[in-house]
Amino acid sequence: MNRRPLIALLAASALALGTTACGAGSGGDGPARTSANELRIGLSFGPFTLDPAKDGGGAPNVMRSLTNESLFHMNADYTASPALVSDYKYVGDGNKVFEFTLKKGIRFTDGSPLNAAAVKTWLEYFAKQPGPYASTLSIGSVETKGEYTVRLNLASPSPIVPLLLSQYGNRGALSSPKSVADPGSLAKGTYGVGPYVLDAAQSVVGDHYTLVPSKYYHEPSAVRFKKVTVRIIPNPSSMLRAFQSGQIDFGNLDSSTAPAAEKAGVKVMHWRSGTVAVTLADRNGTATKPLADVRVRQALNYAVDREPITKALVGKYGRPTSQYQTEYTDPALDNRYPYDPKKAKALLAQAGYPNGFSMDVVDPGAMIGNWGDPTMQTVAKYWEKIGVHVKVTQATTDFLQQAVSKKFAALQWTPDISPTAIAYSLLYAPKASMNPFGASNADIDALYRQGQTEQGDQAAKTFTKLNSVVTEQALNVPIYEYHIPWGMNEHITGVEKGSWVVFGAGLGWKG
Amino acid sequence: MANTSVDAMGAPLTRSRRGRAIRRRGTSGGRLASLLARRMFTAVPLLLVVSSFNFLLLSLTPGDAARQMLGSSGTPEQYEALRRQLGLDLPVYEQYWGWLSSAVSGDFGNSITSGTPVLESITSRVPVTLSLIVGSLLVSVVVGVSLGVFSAVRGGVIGRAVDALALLSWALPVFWVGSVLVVVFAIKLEWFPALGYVPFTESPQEWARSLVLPVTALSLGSVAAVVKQTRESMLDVLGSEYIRMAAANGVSRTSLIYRHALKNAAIPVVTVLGVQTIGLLGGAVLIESVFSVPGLGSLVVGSALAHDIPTVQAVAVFFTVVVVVVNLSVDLAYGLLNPRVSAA
Repeated sequence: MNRRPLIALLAASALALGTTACGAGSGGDGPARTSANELRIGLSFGPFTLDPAKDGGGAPNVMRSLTNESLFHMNADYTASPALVSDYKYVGDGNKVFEFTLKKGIRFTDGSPLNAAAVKTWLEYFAKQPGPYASTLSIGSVETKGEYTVRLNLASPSPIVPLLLSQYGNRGALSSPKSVADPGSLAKGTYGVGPYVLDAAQSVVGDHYTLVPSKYYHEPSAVRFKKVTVRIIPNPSSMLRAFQSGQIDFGNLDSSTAPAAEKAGVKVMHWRSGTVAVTLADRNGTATKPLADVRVRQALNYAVDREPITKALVGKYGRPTSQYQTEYTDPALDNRYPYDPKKAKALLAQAGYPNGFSMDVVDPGAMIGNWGDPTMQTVAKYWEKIGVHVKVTQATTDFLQQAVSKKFAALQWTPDISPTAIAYSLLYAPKASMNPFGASNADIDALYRQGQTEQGDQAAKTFTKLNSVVTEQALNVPIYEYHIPWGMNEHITGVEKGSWVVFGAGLGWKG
Repeated sequence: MANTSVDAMGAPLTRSRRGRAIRRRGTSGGRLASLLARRMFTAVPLLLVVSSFNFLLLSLTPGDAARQMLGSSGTPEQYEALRRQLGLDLPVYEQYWGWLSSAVSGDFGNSITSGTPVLESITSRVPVTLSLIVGSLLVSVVVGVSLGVFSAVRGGVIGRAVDALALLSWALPVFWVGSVLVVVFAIKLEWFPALGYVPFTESPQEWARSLVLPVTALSLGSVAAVVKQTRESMLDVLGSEYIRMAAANGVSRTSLIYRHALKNAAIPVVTVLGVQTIGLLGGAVLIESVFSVPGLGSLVVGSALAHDIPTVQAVAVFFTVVVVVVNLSVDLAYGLLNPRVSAA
């Protein structure tokens, strides 16, 4: 056989491969390249849509903060400081009228000015959209007073209006009136008051987004990079490899990949981000009678040994807790229900269920890794030991539908840390979205109503008390607080420990 | 012998037989047009079946886009209102009819979740997936056929070794191969990027670099299939009487292998390539996830999880068209390789 064609072919292939490989580091996404000019962010999930009014929270807010500066800045302690606002106040008592004045000389990335009319247009648009945060603030009307002052007349009182006009919930992430007039444009681009603007030509929605400096940004010194790229990497192993190969500078890992990242020299920071909990939805005992008894609910809490579960499933990226985490939780209650199966059995017997009972629980399946079904299955085994038989249903993308279907006495899920008022409207209000059986508790309702009309320390005290009642009444079986491990290279600065998410706009570069 | 033509069976073509063969090829032009028309005609019901079945499956999938969009804070009233707004409260056949009536006029609608036009999302991602598929196909043809021929011609231990290697690469899961390649060539050696895709228009060299690892991972199974098929076919053909006759007539070994045996052995290989191309579409979904490549595979996975029916439907239609085109290409290739096939 004449082997020359074959050899020539193989030689050509090797040459092509070699030439291509030798190009490493010459540009593009080269593994070895790091630069102060470009910030490369990796996120486990991106925005559903670029329209802030229709999008959810979490990781996408890392990017949104770069393009849409908010009226207020959300602090790590869940308070809010003025950002685009020069001053603000509640008018009168009862937290029903809120007024703020905008800073002057600020422009959106399309060049249009930020004024009271623009804010009114945005807030009215936001309230009408089918977004997940549209109902977190009930605004009766928006008034403009002069060019820069806005007054919100609330339909129901709220002591956390500044927080709800911050990055939390996207309401504060204003977009320009021009874009609001053409909502289709909001899906394709960014029109906020941010240091950066989306370069649509260099972006693929759902995969990667390229941000370039806004020529209208009011604080040029805050524009630290010539370019920011945000790559969406849902696969945790791919995220880890992106860090290991130096292709991203900053991103969110998970508890399964963070240890390997740390071993590879990636700096990892983590803190309390939310609660992995079983919410006892049928706490009035509509379909599962035993749950109406507080002793039964407390027994379920005492029956779970949180320490080994936390250690095994999330390691150091979590901490056992007996209470649902909000901004005002009393640390003294974190171990309110230590592991005590004897006490659990005794409580069940006192409540009239010495042989236990059965109930159905739904969990989010494997979609959220160890936080989901693996946690629930472990908890179910502990409950089995005190005679409580649990049929666990693993949901998929229909978790929320299943959770509110009234088919399940309890749901296991992973709510992030939220303001108490939001947690109430999510879980404890008689018409709360995640309260399918319409269960209510008079003490909690009263504390909520009281807290909504108070401010500052007084409101904090009332909401702390509300959370304590929730824990004492054992409305949930919290297992552990989860931490999101944020990975970064040694150059990254500006990570505000404890914050809801790390806001990309705060990131800097040293060295 | 250099000026003597032989037919597909190796028999020398006389002047009159050559004329008949040419005339046969001439009439096969009309048959080719007929084949094209037939394929186009059958593609229409195929697209209808695939799109309707896909729509039904998506509708039966637990959950819906409205709940995904509202998250946990959406009240029952907001949820019902959004379902009505999105038309999700309508019977499935009405939803499908609405989608179909727009789709036939080229309007595939907007993504339910992102709000961007579906066609824009697809067109921006087609080059990525095509780069992967075409690249993998080229690798499969070049490497697979070369190794298959080599293995058949050399035989013995080397032949069996190639055979065993092919079987091994067939058995390796594509995501595992992808992960190993990244660890070795991106993290340890730093030759190629671990993830991402650079458009050709931005930098041809970076484009090639970004494709090397995903194409290698994606094509491995396909290469194995082509090696196996080429080797078997070549062994069959090389053992046939006309090859022995041609060798006896003094045809050089190179000409015997590449001009006569390979051409005849290529027909089943083309069939395998057709099947492999369709398989590569499925493999691309995994590979795009492992390498975080913005192709149609990653688009359809994300859209399916978000219950974004318009996007999933459009990608399904696109994949179906690709399958039709691949099958047609295989038919055409048969005709080119063996005139008797097109004559039939």
